[in-house]
Amino acid sequence: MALLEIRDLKKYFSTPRGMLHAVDEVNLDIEEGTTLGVVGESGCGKSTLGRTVIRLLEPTSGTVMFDGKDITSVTKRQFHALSTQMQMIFQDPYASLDPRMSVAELIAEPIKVHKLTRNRAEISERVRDLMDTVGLARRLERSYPHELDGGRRQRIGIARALALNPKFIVCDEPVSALDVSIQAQILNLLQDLQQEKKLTYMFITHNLSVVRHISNEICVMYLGRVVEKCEAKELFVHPYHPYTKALLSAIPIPNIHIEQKPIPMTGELTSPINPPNACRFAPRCPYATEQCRSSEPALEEMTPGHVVLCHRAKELNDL
Amino acid sequence: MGNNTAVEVKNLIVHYETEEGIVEAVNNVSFSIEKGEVMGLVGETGAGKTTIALSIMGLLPHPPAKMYSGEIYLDGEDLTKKSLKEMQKIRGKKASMVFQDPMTALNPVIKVGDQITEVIKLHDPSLSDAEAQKKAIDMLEMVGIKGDRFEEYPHQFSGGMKQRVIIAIALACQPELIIADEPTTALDVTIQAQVMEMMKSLQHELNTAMLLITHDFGIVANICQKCAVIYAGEIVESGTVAHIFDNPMHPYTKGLFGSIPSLDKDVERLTPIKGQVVDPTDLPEYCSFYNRCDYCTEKCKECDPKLVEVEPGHFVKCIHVMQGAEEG
Repeated sequence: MALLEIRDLKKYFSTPRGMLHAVDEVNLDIEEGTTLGVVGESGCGKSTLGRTVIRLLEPTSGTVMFDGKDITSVTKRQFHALSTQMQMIFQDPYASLDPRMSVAELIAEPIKVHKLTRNRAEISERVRDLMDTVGLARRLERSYPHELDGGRRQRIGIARALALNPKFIVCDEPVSALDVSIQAQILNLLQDLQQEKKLTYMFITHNLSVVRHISNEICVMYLGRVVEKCEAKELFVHPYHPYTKALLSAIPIPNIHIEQKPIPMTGELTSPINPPNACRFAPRCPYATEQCRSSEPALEEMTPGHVVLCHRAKELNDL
Repeated sequence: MGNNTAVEVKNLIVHYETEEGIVEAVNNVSFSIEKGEVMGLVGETGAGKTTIALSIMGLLPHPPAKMYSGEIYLDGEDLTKKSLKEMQKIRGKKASMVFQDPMTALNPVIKVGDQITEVIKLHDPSLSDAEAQKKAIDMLEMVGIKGDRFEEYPHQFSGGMKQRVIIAIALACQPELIIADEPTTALDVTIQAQVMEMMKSLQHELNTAMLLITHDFGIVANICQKCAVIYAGEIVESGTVAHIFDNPMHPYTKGLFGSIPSLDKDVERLTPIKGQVVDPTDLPEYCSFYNRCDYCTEKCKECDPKLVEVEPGHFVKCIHVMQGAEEG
């Protein structure tokens, strides 16, 4: 059984112009100790998905089974206890930390909120352990976030997420605000922690090379829908969805001997507000037909474990 | 300075004098860009990339910034000797800049067409309103936006479209030099690809020199002919893209490449550069990369190495490379 089972999850937002379909009928499983990468461009619903999965946002419909329990149907009070198991690392280490709390206070906060212990000595010991775990020097205990650089701040964010010994962590663009050399340090830390503590990650990012590096499985989102999902390396060898192909072709590769030809995408973006019954990528898709514009495709398995949301995937990829 | 040189920066030193101390932002940087050439300037946050750009444009904030030395030649003239008034005539006309964040670089209450017309009129007052407007519409179409959107406001444009408008403004007077400071960092990859393709072809068409500031080696590989890697306000390695990508020699350049996850090779663990960026208010007398370098020895603390030409056009600032060169 997977640690996390997401079934028909929907999150709609009511706007003056209609319902905005931020996450639409998403089905995903994440096995314990593995990482599911979620990629897509701004506005595709990846962050909303991450937040809905750990109930920072209430889902419109659908279920999320965590460790066999349906977290969407429990009361707020029951969920509070469960939430120690599921934590989040936020994107912006500059905005997600209270500037008036010291490093030690920031890391102690989750322990106090969840009343794991009231003993001050125990708390400060736990804080020091956590600082060691994430590689923060103990002398920084009394420092404030503004005195630290982005990499160290993100380490505080990670320590806060780890403070409650969670099983599952949603990492929402945890390295996007960091310089490459620091980014690599944080990615290595996240991988080490996963091995050590058998953590399960949902790793949300727009950076395709990062997601390939860290994930076991990857799902690609486009306007609220999962359009392709498969084993991480497979996605880069055999992308089947036209959107995935365009996305991959657009990444600038740091190699001067490869000539890069991004697949041009023209056409207007479909509005996520009251989307029509059609493939949401059709207006920008070079292969769209009448069928694509008049009915929405269903996820279909191309090869074992590799699902694609496209009417023409089989035909276009000779499968 | 060769006939074909568009811009040449010599011995640029810029410090910021703040209450916490003197931030040594740019320390003796020299480079030149030929006409029609694109040079990438790669480095991390705080390396001094943007300070170099602002120095060329004469936009350094005084105080706290202070230029201690440096000559900046554009079209044979030293910009550091120009008055504020003279610089106003040069900015937008001979040298223009594309900023990182398209969301804040445009004025939200002025129609995009008028924002393009403004530059054209400012630098060529002899043009009539109608002529300037026609030229502005041509510019819009050149960056792939329909001319009938001339009357629209910035909020009606997407991020990628806004960046196109900014590029249209930058190119409106056909400058000799464009400085693009992380022009696509705020954009999604597919939009980034479109904007980069467009910049590449326009730059080629107009034979403009371009200084492209970025932290992404992928973009450098895609568009630049030359590349300089900057660390703590110093160029630590520079050369053609072939030098930098096929034969990186400075430990910092190698470290940056080791930090990027690959799209086609399987690497279990990345090899990041250890430690944090050196404090620019407290730079050592010796190599400023010393505390993060995997190859550092006692010798590295003896002196500050010089940029050495290891092969024609390929410069490296590292004592090991310097000694290797001396020993032949």
